[in-house]
Amino acid sequence: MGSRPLEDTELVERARHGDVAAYETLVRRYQALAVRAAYVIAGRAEAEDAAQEAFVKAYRALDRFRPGAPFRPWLLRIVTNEARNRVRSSRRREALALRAVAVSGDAAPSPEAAAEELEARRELLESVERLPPADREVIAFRYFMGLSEAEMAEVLAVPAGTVKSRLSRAMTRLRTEMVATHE
Amino acid sequence: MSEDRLEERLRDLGSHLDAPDATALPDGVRQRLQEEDRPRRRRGLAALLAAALAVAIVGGGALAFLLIPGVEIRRVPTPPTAPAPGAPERLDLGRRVSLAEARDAVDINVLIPQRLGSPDDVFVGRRPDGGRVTLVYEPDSDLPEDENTGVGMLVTLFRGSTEPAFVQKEAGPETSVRPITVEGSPGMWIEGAPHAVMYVDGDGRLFSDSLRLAGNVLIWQVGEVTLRLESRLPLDPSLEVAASMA
Repeated sequence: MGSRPLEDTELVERARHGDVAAYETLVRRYQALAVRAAYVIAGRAEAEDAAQEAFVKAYRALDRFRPGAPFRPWLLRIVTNEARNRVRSSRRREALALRAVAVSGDAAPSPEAAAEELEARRELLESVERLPPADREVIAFRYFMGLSEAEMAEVLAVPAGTVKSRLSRAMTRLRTEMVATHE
Repeated sequence: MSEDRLEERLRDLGSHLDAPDATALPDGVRQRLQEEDRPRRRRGLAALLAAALAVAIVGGGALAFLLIPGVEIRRVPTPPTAPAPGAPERLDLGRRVSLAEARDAVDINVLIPQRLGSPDDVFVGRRPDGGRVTLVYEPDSDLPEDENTGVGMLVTLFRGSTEPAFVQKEAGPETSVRPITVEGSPGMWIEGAPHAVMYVDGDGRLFSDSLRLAGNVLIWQVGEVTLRLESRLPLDPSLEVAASMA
């Protein structure tokens, strides 16, 4: 894990004592991850606002943060709650989309291969989008954001075994959806 | 497709998602924190004031105070009594509905404590204006049965801007009432001897038939919504449940 957790701990401690610059360092460190988490849960239109709100709420809640605890999963839990609440209150969620990519250079695949890859990604994304929110969430946390199962357990506030079983159930449902996409 | 191959394809998909750019975020957060500087000081003042009032109340007399919109806590010389509880139906929580129906029926954002998951029962009450939702959690290994309610936890949400006070609590001398901060918002923690919960109608009259006792209670606000947790849990786990509703 290197020195990062220690460094987070110190920044959190300074922020708790009113050092806004220290908090800003934490915001910069986790901004991309927070926006990505909000994006996979609530969609593009809500992502930035939800992440910003979560950082503001986390700052306000710093006096309740357990000293020495990892900041990252604690923050992600606040982001997750914020994003979920936004989906709930708007009662709809914008679907995830693929980024438009310009492919060029020597390593670029042929146009046919690129089109095939794009189509395969689009189909997989459609299958993920058809999953129930809880399944989509665990798949997104694990594979789109690269969280470990242990970290997911902290973010979702469930035992590690529960993450494993939820993930396994989500992957089974995803396979079923993928077959349906092809039919 | 093998499990490894599917995992690899999902990671590849993740790297091609159209997630928004986060570079403007630190500026936005800084601006928000600066804007809140003044209200933050006001909140600090409100907390001080509440602390002073709480001391005054513990000190004696039938003083009443109103800190959280829609909630009034009244100190009484003798502890209140109430009929024994039974099934959730007897707690006068309103109409039993599904969570989706509750969300349609009320004018507030129905937050769920992620810590506890989906409620076992959901009730909707008409009072106050905007509606009231109560989530019922049955007792389990983490949530002891509250002898006052007969359930593990009651989570009540209503719009807090109600006047006059919608919820009144009568606390005897053995009940401690103290102001605390819940997720950055002002809140109250009430524990010790059971205290009475009464609902008040539009004319300010108490509903005696809905008189019942409550155990440990955490009350706080999220935006315009006042939230109340009632259970046997002590303060820290109650705060964790509250944090999961942020």
